[in-house]
Amino acid sequence: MDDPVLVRKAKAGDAKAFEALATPCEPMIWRVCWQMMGSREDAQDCAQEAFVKAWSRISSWNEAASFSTWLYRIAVTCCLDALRKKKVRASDSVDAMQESGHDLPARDPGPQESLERAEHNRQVREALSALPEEQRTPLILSCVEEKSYEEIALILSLPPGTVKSRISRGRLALKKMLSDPSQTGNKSDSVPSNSMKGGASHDL
Amino acid sequence: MTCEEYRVLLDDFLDGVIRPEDEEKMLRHEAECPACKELRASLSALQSDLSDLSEDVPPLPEDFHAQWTEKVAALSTEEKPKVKVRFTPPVLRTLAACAVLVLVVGTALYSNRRSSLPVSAPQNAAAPSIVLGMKSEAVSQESDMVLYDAAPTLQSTAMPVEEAEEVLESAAYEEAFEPAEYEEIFESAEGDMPAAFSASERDAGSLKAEGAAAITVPSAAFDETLEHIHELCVSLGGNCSSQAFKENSSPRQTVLEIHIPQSSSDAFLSSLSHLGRVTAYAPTVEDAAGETCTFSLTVSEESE
Repeated sequence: MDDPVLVRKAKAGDAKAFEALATPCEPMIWRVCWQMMGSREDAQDCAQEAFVKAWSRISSWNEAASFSTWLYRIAVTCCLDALRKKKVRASDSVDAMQESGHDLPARDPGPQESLERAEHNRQVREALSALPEEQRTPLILSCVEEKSYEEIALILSLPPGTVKSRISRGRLALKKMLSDPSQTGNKSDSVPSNSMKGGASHDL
Repeated sequence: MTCEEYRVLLDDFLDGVIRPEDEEKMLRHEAECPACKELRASLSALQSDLSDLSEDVPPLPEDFHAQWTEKVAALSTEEKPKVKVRFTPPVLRTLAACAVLVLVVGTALYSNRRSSLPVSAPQNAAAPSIVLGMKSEAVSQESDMVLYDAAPTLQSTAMPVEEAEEVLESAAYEEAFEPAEYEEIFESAEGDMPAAFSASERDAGSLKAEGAAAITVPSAAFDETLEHIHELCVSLGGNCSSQAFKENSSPRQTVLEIHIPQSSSDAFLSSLSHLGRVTAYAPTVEDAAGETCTFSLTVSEESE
């Protein structure tokens, strides 16, 4: 429940009240922007934009959803817009990161297990980013961010049934991609993902 | 149990909402169907893979908080720019409802570069700003003339089966597209959209009305919503080239001509749904390059 005093003040133009409402949401917004964009720089741009947009549109927040859900929704929209505008898939960003050696916990020296896990995550993330946007976003929000169908429906302005069907299709498409890495442009085959071990005996 | 029925339960299983009796059914099916059993194993592993990604997030940048709070502080000391809503003068509203409108848009800003754009409506405050009419039909490559007429063009675009299913199952459709209401939406706007929405094209409830969108907004927020829509168009790299009030309509109704990049269409719909109840949304891709979509957005005041 949002503090009604802060809400009233923020909507009346009190920037400090807005800051008090928004600051606790920072980790959540940062996380979803990172998951959606796949690079630190893009995630930072989108997350910053989300906070600024939220401030400039605070008067239009109708309080039907909580402040954090509303802000989350703005952040997701910022990410989707950024991805569309740049016409760059998140996988490209991941590739760029890896080429430049940035944002890659896996490249840090460490135990073999850590390296394998990071490589494994990279493969899954790459396949995820190759999914059609309409499947990728609900899948990220559901399986990575662990949002409920109802929350995702609210964030994406979709009926819960549509969210469910998109996630279901997304899972199958992702499984197919991981079973056939060539579909994602993934050239690395050093560490097979758990999900790649399952056979593709079903014609999906 | 068929494999198809199994798949439905499998989604519930993966979402952690499976009922024990249904899980029993799944196990019985798996005993007879190794393929389904394997599918569950691989999708369960995938679910676990995806969960692992939630831990793979870099720490929040140190200057993150300072950056956005500075921007907010800077914004809060500025006066918020007013969005200019272009209202069509009454006498011209009549013209818009009757016939083709031709407007001359100023010369300097409609250079060759601009005139090569698929829709050359004013995109910045410095450009001549009043554009009337329902639809940009032609843009001269050589001159600075932009022609507008009163009838939006309808284009038939096939809807993928999956998309159609989603529309049909959506709550918005169920609530909004009762055939009678659907008919009413477009009949009420018929004065503004004469040729385009003939009875054959707007077959009730069939979503055939390409190039149209409709939103119903609370009465108190009607004017504010129009401003928001203008602002939204600009923020998505598009514009609203005309605004025509439907005279003597009660509740109030206004038709906006929207031009937005095709890539921003979903974002526009998403933002639009914040502003009111979207009852129709079928943008038409206008230009050959498929980069801009255009549609008439009917904004209606909610009935008391």
